[in-house]
Amino acid sequence: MAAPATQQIKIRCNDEKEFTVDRDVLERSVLIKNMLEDVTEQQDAPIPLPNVSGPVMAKVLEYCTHHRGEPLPSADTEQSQDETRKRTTDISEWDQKFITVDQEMLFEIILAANYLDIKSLLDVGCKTVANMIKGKTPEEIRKLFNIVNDFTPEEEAQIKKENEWAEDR
Amino acid sequence: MKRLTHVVFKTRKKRAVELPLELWVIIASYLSREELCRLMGVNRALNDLAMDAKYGVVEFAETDPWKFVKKVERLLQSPFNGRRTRSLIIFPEGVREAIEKTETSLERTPSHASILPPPKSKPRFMPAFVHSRVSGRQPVEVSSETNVVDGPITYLSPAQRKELYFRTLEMLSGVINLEIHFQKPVPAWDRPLQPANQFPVTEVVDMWTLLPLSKLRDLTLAMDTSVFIKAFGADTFKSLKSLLSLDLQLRFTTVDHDMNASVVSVINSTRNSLEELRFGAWGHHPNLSPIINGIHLPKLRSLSLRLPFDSRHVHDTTCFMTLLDRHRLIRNLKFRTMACYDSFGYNPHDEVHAHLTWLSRSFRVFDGDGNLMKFPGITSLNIVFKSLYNWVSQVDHTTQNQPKLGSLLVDVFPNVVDLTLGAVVFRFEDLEETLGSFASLELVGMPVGDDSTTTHRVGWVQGLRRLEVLVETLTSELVLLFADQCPQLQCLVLHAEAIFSVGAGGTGIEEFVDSMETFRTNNTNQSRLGEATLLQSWCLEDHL
Repeated sequence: MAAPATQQIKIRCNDEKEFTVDRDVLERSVLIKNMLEDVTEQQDAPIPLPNVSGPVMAKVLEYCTHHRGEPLPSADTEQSQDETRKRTTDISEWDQKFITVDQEMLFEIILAANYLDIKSLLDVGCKTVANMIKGKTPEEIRKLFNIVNDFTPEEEAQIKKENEWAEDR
Repeated sequence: MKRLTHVVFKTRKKRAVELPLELWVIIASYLSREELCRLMGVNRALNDLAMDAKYGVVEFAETDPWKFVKKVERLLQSPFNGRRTRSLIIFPEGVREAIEKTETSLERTPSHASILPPPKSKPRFMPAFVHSRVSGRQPVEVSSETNVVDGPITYLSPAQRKELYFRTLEMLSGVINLEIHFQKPVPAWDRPLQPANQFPVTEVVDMWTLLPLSKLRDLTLAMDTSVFIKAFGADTFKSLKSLLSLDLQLRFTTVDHDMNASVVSVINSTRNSLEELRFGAWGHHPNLSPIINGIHLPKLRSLSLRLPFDSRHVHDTTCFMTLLDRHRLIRNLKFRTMACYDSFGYNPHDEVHAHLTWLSRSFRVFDGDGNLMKFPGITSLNIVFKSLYNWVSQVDHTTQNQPKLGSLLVDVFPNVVDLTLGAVVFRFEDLEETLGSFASLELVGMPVGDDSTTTHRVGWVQGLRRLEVLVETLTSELVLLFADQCPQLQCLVLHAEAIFSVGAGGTGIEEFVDSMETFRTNNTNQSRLGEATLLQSWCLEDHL
């Protein structure tokens, strides 16, 4: 017997780019999952996603397709993940390859994951940024993310003094 | 320094994508303590963020001291929290409050030790971590029926108590910041004196000797002089070989020659390492000049003095300048003085006049050649003096014949780039011609009383990059004027006391919000660092 056909859902991005995607793939997004649950009748009109562009959505769908079928995190597992998060920034090999993008796309993916409520993707993105920060001096971090130093020299000296304990303890 | 609440990032060029602060919070949660330290050095926004990620406040209120120790033990032994414990703050005086609070809620929670989120008002650069209340005073008995504090009992022998301290402090061998508050500092200390502190001095000494003194870098002590002198001597302070920063807030309960000499001796015993001194005198002291004159700390780079002013007993007006003259390495000077008129009901106008005259004399000191004593090494100056807050507005009209203290300060401290002036008695026009020489200016309180005067003056603020000002009534015209006339302004911080009672030019909150947007837009279009920051503006945060 043939497997039941998976429902196809249409989504439309802010640049009018449309995607037709299997429902179980899209349901990796808690936002879309809730929207679909709220709609009882079959609708042909695409779901508008005003905060996501086509290219970014394509990447997000690539991630969701790869991880389709994996259990979604429950509230309990989220809590335990929160506790372990502080100790690990490990990213699986596939995810690492997937997230190897330029900084602008990386930030776009993080924003999209946050908006669409895809916790695992958000974690991958944030871990990647955290890994970028690791081992860098404040000046290197500023340069990396184009952040202006708005401390006065006195404040900067004070912070340096405040934090030197962490280095030599 | 105020805590930023609104501005997140300032970038020279607008990047297409920026992450909101809540996502940086998640990113910070993946960073180690060392990485968070580095993140704190990036900019102000990340400093705040990393500070919150790095430190939490743990508050204990526990009537049973042994349970208290157990809880501290559990906290410190946990791999995540233990290694992050950096400071210990002890409020022995607060234990009664803590006990009362705990016992009031006895039916619901027999005992509690709760981990609280970081306080929003947490001061910058003074992270508070383990906020512990050690049972130091006589414990109280609580009636189980009525939950009313019923009177003292003794349930710990001195030996037991000492062991309690020992067990607690032994776990904190990594602590390098210590704060001991035997009194609540402000504002209670400006009120008439309370009955003498009953905290047993011997216990202070016990605690002190058990601490890893040679490792301490920052020490805060706030207590009555009677306790201070009995508990701490110059010999014990000599053990503080690594001490860089001392915050000593003393309430003077007795004043005599020996006491002055003892305070000086204790402060000076840190001379080999101390770089920052914050000294505050509270209560009534007829003459602090023996202490000021006695301080000699050759490595001092930052000095903060908080002194009471009493027109009946005017301090030696030259002692501050001679103190600065002995410490030419000082770069940051903070000077605060408060008139203590409230307990003897002087005419406020006379008192302010005397206060201001005293200050002018204090800063106008001449060297042996008859030249005005100047301090070109000081780059950051923060001077606030005030009298009773309630008649701030009245004082503005009494200053017509006051000395031009603002311009005097500019002469005495010619290289100041960060200036904070807090006083209603400063006349703004004293400073207007030199305002452009400051990179950062903070005015606490309106210098001349009304906003219209300020709006006439801001045109002088040509070179200013950061302006922080408290205005009584905030109008859209004022913001637009800053946007229009301050071409170099990168950061505008407005503290508004009354946003709804807008002045004659204001038409309401919506217009004000529009003007803030205009300020931002103007700056962005001209590729400058354009952010208008609004602090303590509870009513505007939702609109912006």
